[in-house]
Amino acid sequence: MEIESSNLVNCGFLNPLNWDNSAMGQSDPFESDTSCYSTPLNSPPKLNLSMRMGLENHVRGNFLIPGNQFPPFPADAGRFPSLNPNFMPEFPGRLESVGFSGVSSDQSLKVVGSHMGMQENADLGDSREESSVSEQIPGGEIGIKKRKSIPKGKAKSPAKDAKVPTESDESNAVHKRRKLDENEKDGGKSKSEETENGKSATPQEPPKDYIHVRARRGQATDSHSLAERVTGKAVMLDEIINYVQSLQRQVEFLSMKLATVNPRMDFNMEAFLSKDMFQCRGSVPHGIYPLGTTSPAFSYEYQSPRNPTTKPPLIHGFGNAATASQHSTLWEEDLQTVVQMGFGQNQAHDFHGEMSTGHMKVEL
Amino acid sequence: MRNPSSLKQEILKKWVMGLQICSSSKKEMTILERKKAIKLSADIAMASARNASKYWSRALIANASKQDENKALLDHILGCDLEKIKKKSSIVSIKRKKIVLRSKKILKKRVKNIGVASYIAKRLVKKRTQLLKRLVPGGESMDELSLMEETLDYIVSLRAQVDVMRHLANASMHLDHKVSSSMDQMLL
Repeated sequence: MEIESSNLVNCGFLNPLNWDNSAMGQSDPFESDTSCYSTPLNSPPKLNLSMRMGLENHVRGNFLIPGNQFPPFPADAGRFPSLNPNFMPEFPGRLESVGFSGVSSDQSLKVVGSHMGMQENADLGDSREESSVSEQIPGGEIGIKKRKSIPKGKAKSPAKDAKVPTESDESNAVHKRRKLDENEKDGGKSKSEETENGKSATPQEPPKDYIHVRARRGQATDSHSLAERVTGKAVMLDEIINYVQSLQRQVEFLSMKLATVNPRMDFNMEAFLSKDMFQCRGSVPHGIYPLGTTSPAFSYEYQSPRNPTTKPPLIHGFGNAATASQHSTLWEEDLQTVVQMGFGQNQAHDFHGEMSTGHMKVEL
Repeated sequence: MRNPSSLKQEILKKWVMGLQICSSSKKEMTILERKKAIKLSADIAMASARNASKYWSRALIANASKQDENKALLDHILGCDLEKIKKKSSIVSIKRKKIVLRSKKILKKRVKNIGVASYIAKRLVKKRTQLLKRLVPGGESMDELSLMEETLDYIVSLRAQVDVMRHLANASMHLDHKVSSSMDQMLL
């Protein structure tokens, strides 16, 4: 560990190769960061970035640079057991939000090697990010990166005027709400550069594979930010449209399926009911034979005033007064079971004979 | 947040009611007719599960009631609410529009000097909102703000409907399986 830390100090950045060779094979090639490796001492900002990223990766227990891949490696997770559960949720969220201070990262590097040091490191990294976040906020300009989830969360009030004031209000919350998959999509380095430039007036146009919405506190009329926000809205709308379309298609498909499965459209609820009763009670209730299509009975019963307790009408359809009470108590239960479970879980084979005879009556 | 399982239960109940009615009315139906009837019952059940509190549900029911053949079905499921629903749908939309017009005026004051890029982006957004309006029942006459609200609610209901239908379909299929397998056994 000491050797590693000294290496770090010399190279100026975390090299996962030192830590764990196996990790390299599994991680994606760090194209964006190769320059970091080659010129570790020449470019301090990059250096700090990669150090920070590496730190956070370390904290995540993943040994990956930059901060966008984090498939958990169980072997590595074992090394830093204290860290993984604690820091996984927080760090990805903070990753992009920040500029960084070079000094503290240098200091933290020396401690990286040790187990104990990692803990402190994480804390340091944590505090660094927090401080830099707070640095940005008083600056009055915040680079907010909104994910699809966040605009979706605001789907209820997507009007632009509503968006403008609320964005600034939620800027702080947004920092912490960012999700993990944001890291997956970003080229980590490009993102960090953008965070660096986040304070500048015209940030570079981000790559289009993720939503990137920026707003400045109190100023929403900048053309670039507006355009970005509108683009984000378009993407969100696209998602919603796709979802609604897929749901509607599913309804069509399922109705078609039901039409094929049930040629006579007599959805014998009592058949389902009895099935559920068998399931619920585990025994074969006697006298429950699903009659034939009781639709005439049903249509007759519907003339009676509709109330949630349609149990009495249904029970008449069974024609067995003795079990009437049982039916009534189980109606709600059965509905729930029908709705909630897949019938694949059905294990009541004991009623097999009963059911078949019942259905024999129906089919004939 | 509404209880999702209770929503599903309600949808199921009303849907089965509708299905029974459909099956009692016609004896011979082609598969497409059946599918149409099933879907119709499901949609009406989904809409009525909302008790006409949402615009899309009212629009859905209104569309369905336009066709005379559905009237019996609608009457059974909705009872006397049908008239109330129709009245409600006309009033609420007016109120909403007023609010939105006001908010749009405010917005116009703020927005100045929009670049070309945002025009393109705005067109994208507009295109998509139009698409969405077509998807959501009754969306044509809705403003953006309420459109999103309605879409949200519609999605939740659609999901419940899909779940209910899927469960019923699975149940039917399993029953079919069991019946056929048991019949095979008996025949053997």
